Amino acid sequence: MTENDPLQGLLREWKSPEPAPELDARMTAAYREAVHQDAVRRSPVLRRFWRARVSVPAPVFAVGVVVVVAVFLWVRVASPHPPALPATSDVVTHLDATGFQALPNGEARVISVKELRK
Amino acid sequence: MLPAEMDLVGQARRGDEQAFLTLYGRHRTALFRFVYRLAGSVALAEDVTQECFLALVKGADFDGDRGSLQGYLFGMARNLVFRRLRIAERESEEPAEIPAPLDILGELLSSERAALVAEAVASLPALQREAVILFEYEELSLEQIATIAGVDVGAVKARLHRARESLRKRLSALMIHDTERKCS
Repeated sequence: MTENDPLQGLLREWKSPEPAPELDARMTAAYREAVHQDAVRRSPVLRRFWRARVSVPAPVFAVGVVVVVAVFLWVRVASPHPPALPATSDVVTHLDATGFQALPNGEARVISVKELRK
Repeated sequence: MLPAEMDLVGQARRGDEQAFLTLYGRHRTALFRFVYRLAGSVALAEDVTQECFLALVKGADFDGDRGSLQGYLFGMARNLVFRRLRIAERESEEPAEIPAPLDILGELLSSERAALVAEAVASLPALQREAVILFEYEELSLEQIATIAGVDVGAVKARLHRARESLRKRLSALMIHDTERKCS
């Protein structure tokens, strides 16, 4: 282990390469990512929820859009007319205007079902 | 560890990028060199270097009062390298077979001397290789090496002695060639 040791001189002939500049860029990016993750981890749950992002593959997203559009169209085609009002025992609806006579004084009068059946 | 360096570690952990880059710039090259010589791979050296600095920032178990930051980083790096190379310390402590001297004349024709040295160092058992690299190349003291390796100074001396004996045998022809060249 002396300075004049020929082995020591021989060993020193093996030089190590210098770290590549790409390592510096990679390191900086990794540091920023780590700091960001740390900040997110320390933030409140609600803030984390609002900042949360969901990553969806484009094909899955496209299929989802198609399904939503298809369901919307199917609903519209399946029900072209507004649904009929259900018949109740207390209300009689006349869509037929046969024999209609306007009241002379233009006053409307409400009559009960019993009176009408009589 | 210097007080300023302790402050830098704290600032880097709190998100101060400039503090981190200062620390990284100070220790990057030495750490990379150490891992490269220990593992023999640039890719692995880059990965381990990055992993060590990230662990430092993420608050890995580090106590500035127990040793230098360089020693801490070197210790973490050697553990990562040994884990990745799946080298069990017990196996590494077993006496290695003394390698046969290289066919230097033949090798000289096709390889550079540095490549022969690299090959000789790489052929050492992992713990002996670590001791040689830290002592000869990184010029750390026996005490510093002992701290990094987690052993006492006596064990470091023994590893260094065995490593140098192996290297002398393996590189003997090259050393004789150098001596003859100097004499002539």
